[in-house]
Amino acid sequence: MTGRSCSSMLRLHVLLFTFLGCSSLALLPSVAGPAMVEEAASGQNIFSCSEDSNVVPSFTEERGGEGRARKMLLGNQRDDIPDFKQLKMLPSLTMVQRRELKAALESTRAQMQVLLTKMKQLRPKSEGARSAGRPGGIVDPQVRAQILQLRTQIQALRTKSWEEIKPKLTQGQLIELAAMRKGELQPATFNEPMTGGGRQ
Amino acid sequence: MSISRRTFLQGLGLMSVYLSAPEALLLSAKAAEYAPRTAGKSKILVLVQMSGGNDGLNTVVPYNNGAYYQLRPTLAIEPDKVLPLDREIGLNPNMIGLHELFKNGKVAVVQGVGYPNPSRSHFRSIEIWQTAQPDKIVETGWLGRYLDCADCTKNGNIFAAVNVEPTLPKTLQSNKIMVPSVSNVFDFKFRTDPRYLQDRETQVRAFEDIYGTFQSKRPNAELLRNAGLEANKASDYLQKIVREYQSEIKYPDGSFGNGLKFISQMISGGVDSRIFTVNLDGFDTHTNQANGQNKLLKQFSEGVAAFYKDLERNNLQDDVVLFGFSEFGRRVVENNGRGTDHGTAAPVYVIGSKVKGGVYGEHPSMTALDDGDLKYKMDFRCVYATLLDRWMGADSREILGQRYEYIPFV
Amino acid sequence: MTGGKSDVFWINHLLRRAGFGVTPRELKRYVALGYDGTVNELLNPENVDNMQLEESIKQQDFDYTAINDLKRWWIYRMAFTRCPLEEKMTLFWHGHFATSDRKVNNAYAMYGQNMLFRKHALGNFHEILYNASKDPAMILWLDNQQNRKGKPNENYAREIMELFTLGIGNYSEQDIKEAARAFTGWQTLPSGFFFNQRQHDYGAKTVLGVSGNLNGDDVVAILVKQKETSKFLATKLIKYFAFDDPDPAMVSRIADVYMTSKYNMRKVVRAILTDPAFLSERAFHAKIKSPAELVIGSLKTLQIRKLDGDLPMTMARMGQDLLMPPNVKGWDGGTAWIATDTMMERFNFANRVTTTKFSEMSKFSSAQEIVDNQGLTSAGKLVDYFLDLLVDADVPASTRAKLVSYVSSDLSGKPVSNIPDEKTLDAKLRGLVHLIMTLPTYQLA
Repeated sequence: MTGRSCSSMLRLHVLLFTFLGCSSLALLPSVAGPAMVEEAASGQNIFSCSEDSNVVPSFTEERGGEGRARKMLLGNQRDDIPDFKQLKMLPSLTMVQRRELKAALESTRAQMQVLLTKMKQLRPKSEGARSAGRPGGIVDPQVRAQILQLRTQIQALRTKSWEEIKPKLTQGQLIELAAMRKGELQPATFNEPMTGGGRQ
Repeated sequence: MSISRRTFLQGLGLMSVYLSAPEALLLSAKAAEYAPRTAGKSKILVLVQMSGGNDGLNTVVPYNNGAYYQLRPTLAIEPDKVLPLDREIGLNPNMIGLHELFKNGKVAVVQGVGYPNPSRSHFRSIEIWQTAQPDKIVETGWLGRYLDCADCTKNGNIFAAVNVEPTLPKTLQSNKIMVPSVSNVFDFKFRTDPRYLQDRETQVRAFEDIYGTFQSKRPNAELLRNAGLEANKASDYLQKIVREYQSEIKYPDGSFGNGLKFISQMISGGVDSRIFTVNLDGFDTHTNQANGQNKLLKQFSEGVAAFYKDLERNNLQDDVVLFGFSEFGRRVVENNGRGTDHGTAAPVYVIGSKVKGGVYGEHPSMTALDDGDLKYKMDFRCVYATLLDRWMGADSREILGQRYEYIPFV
Repeated sequence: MTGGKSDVFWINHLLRRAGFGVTPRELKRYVALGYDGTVNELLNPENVDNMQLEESIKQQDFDYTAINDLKRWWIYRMAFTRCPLEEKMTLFWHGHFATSDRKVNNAYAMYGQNMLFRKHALGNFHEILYNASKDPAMILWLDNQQNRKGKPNENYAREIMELFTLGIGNYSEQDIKEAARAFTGWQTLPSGFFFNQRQHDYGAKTVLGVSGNLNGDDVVAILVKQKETSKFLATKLIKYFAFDDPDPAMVSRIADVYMTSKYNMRKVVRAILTDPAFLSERAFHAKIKSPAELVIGSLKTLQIRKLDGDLPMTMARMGQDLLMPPNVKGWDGGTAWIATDTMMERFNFANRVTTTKFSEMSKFSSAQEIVDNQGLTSAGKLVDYFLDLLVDADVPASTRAKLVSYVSSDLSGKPVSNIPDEKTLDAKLRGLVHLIMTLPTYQLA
């Protein structure tokens, strides 16, 4: 520890922060010059989006990985076909439904695999555009056309699977799916007080 | 019960006085340049750790053994699918690349490798393979101890070994040096604000000055100081190497393939490293073994084949031996989930142009089992001793504590 | 307090260990409570109003079925909760009962498990072990689905003894085999835990000297009361909160609290946080920050409200992939966080924070304003302010001097007596914070 006094540390940490208006540009005085200590009882917080501002903290859009891959596959279209992986997590899914879901996906699996592989191969070409600083849009019209075509085909397969599965689910389950995505469905975790604590 | 490194080394009878770890690291941090390796001058060992416990019986298949088929009704591999090594055993059908290398005499398969009183705990067993010490817990790895004795670390060469994984395996835990771990060379770069490029130089110099003289009595300060210095220096060097050495050989996708590719770049680029370590994870196949293991063995085989081809392109294949092992094999009888549980003895694989290819050791008995597990025939330290003395030119007695019989694969 | 240091000093230390650091406003509030008052508040999260966090979370619209969103959800909680010790203990349990979604492949089950750990964060160890053993994610992770009468799968029995309770060497292979039989039939359906009677081995068994027709509940009860369990947990917790090398005397003290309080984790943690060893020079800056502590601590100290979406990946590259620990042993911690790769990752995180994050602020204030408003009228003051803020000024004089000369130079490195313009000041401010965040001291908790 350097020999700093505790009281000055306290002072720095406990300064009350209030927002001050813009001050005019001033230059930093010399290092060797007199220490002009402006011990303001209040001073603007060191960073703008401080806890004193009313900004609710949030995440910026995720960079790379899952989101980008998914976006590439599905584009910007919003449809009401749920994520099939999500469906498998539904706590109220019965074993029968689970088997039916598996069967429905199995029928389109081979074709889907082919489309996904093709899409994967196109990814580097689109990334080139992105890393070159061009936002979102894919520049090469041929590549863009291929991606759009693949998306249509992927969408068709997903719709086919969904049409097979949807009638096997109850209305309640569809509502549950939405709730689960929001974390509002009771997870299937075991969470009960011990009964008796067993022998010994 | 862990014993101090000093006590262990004294127990081994090491005569030389060694620098304390921080002192040695300071020396390396001060070294300005990394001297490049001269081809043919030193031998390189690439260690592939197959993590999770690779099922030896489905990798090197005893396709003529009735018990194998009896005890593994769903998992056993059909005799006509197996890639034969000799009349008794053959490779898993997904290992075509490795089989080719075997036919060209570049692969030694050593059977029935293990150690007495085997542990079936992942952590303890891999620790035993990494430290070469089944009887007690020690703090250094067998290759870490090699690095402590070898002259490749004398002038502060921090690249004496490189770990191509995010976490350093205990294999490379050494007294003298801290082996760098570089899993992704492109991210391995000290960055400063791109808008103020002029200031970069001042900042980097300030960083080096601060780290050069930093002293604190906090317990881990010295370790952190050396790690920081090393990170910076290493990054400059490796960026240069990778820029200058590209390859057209196709490696399998994934971190294992990328790791081998990066190792090949470093060797071609002249990084003066004796040891490289890389991991292939996922062998803990308690359920649905066929699916998982086949994919991994394919990766292993394709990766090794690509690596070997890459070395050949640069005429460096004579300098390198690759050694693949796992912390244990798996039980003979399959379990309820179309998988197998933790077992004991298993084969190891030694690959290289200077390797005398073939099948070594005896296959463990499939009937005289030790509580359902294969009994080992070959102590793994024999393999280590062979590699240390006959390939790396070291003194295995110092490193392993006693002499072990050699196996003539190199 | 000990060693002539102020309350502020030790509260900062406490919040680094029992939480993930503090923002200036939070610190002010804790200082008003005093050290003991703060310890009390931390240990009783149920008495703290955390509604603001829950409401902010709702606004974020996380997708609880997507594992990467779940990781972000948890980081958000750790950064903005008013119950930091609750989150810190949730992280402890996650590392202790290390379960990885790489195998479980069910984000909602991982969410459920995470909520379980939070609910019992400072609860009773018997309850948490009991519930964790029946947790769907755990059953899938350690293959207990396949553990059946006549064909037992030993994975869970081994790990519960080796890693969750006794520690290696304190049981025999026979104990494991018998315990595996006790856990047969413990399965999971999508709807949750399911006891499959037909697959349960009801026969006689002996585990750690106790005989009977033991089932899984019995084995759990046997394990929690073992002396080895008390020592194992005590050691782990002291390492988590205090320092990497607990002495046997302290382990004994804390292990005793575990036993006499009948496995009450609140009492055990209190014992550690109020132990003289915790408030000693030996404990100060004695631990290496885990990636979670480094990243979240930075967000808090610098009051960052806009978090990068790929923070989970940043932490993963530093060696801590939340909800995906490398194996069932969890994270070793301590010096294991430090490798050349992970150090570089820490440095680059520091760079990202000081470049992109400062940009977020340029709309509201300029570097000059920051300097003026804090009265930072000399390079020395500037350096001291940030050294205090970021590392409790725990650096050698030579480091401070070098930082001062860095700040007192222009963009080409030439020493100056006056910062020539706003642009240079901006560069130097960022560079200074970057350099401090790359110091060895900044890696210490």
